Amino acid sequence: MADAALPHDHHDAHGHDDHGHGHLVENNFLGLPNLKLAMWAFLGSECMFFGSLIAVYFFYHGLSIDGPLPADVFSVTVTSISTFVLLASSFTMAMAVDNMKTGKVQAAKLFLLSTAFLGLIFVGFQVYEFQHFWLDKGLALQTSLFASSFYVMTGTHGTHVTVGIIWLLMVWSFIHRGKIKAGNYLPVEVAGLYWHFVDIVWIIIFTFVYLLEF
Amino acid sequence: MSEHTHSAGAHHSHAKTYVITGVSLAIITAIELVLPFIEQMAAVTPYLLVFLSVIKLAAVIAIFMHLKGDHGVYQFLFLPPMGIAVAAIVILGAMAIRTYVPFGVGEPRLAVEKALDPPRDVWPEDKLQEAYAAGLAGGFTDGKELYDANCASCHRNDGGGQTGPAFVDNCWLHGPQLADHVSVLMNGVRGTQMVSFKERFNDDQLRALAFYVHSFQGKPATNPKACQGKEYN
Repeated sequence: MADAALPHDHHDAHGHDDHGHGHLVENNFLGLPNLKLAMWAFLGSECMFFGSLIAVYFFYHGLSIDGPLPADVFSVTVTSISTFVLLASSFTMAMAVDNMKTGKVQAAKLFLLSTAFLGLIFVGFQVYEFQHFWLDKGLALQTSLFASSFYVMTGTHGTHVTVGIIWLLMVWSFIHRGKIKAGNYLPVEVAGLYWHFVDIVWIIIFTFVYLLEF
Repeated sequence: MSEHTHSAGAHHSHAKTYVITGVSLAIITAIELVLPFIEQMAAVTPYLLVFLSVIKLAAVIAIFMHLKGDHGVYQFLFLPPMGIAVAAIVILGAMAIRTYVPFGVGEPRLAVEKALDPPRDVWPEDKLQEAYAAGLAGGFTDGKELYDANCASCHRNDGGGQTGPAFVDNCWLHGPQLADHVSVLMNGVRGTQMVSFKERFNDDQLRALAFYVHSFQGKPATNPKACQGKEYN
């Protein structure tokens, strides 16, 4: 395999002068940045993790003995708003990476903040949804197979979004304090991969868990 | 090969592509939101929803996550596990459809249910009247025996309800009439563990059971379940 065939997107351009973050762009024997390689491997495992949670939800679908059932609790308005919010956040994330790559650090920072903010709105909707289901509709974690599989699946997703928000804010703060310098876009790109993954999980949950019930 | 072969620092902006992708995704999502409410589309809606979400997934992975045109190692790390996940969802989902009761009392909601929904069994009026008369005259004696053997595990021997609803109050989920009880027994209840008993019991047994269930009303039960459904007086 010729070295020339490999994408050198993280070439030595940044050198090793980026103050403690040199390890982020260190290339391994494949000529690829370790951080990005590790993120893709992690996302592969996350696929199977969420795959099993969603599969279990479907397996138990329609087998709950006692209500409330999905059609009794789901709200098309709340879910569609939060879906559009998360979709928009994927767009702002892509723009953050793009601006970081083209050296527009200020714009990148703004898009990072927007992404975190949109994520926060999504989590807020989920908190509202959970407390509404639980307190108003009587759907507790242990109520039925639907309740348990639904809460564990969407709760795990919401936790991922929350982790993503913290991560994005950390990246923003690192850029702000100069710990991530212009040109070193890898940390932003890798955080973006995670964020987009969380978005695609929601695309599946939104379509198959919510939309098919309406 | 890809845009990544540029030397660092000379990255082109993909902003235009991202805007187009973002707008397209929003439009697809809007279409997805409208689809379930178009009655005429009910038969094809589930397939369309699957199709549209696959497009959305592919767009986010290929464009936003840049996997298209990126190094094959990344694709190798991500795509096979994703295939396994999709296979797990499809296989377990298909298994669930086999065990799911797609019929029963209650309106079908999903397009799949509507397509599979068989006509419901109803007894003609004279047969019901006959059952009433016979039941009131004490004509059915095996109701309790059948109930204890087949129903008590969910509804309890005293009708107080456990996983299934209680019969001792005047609340009913699917109607208070003898005809309603017969219908539930024969058709089952969609999406619950109340299965259809029409293959297991003959008409006399169904009548006996329905009458026995009806007779629980107002009787004492230890720790009965709270009212479920509508209250009838």
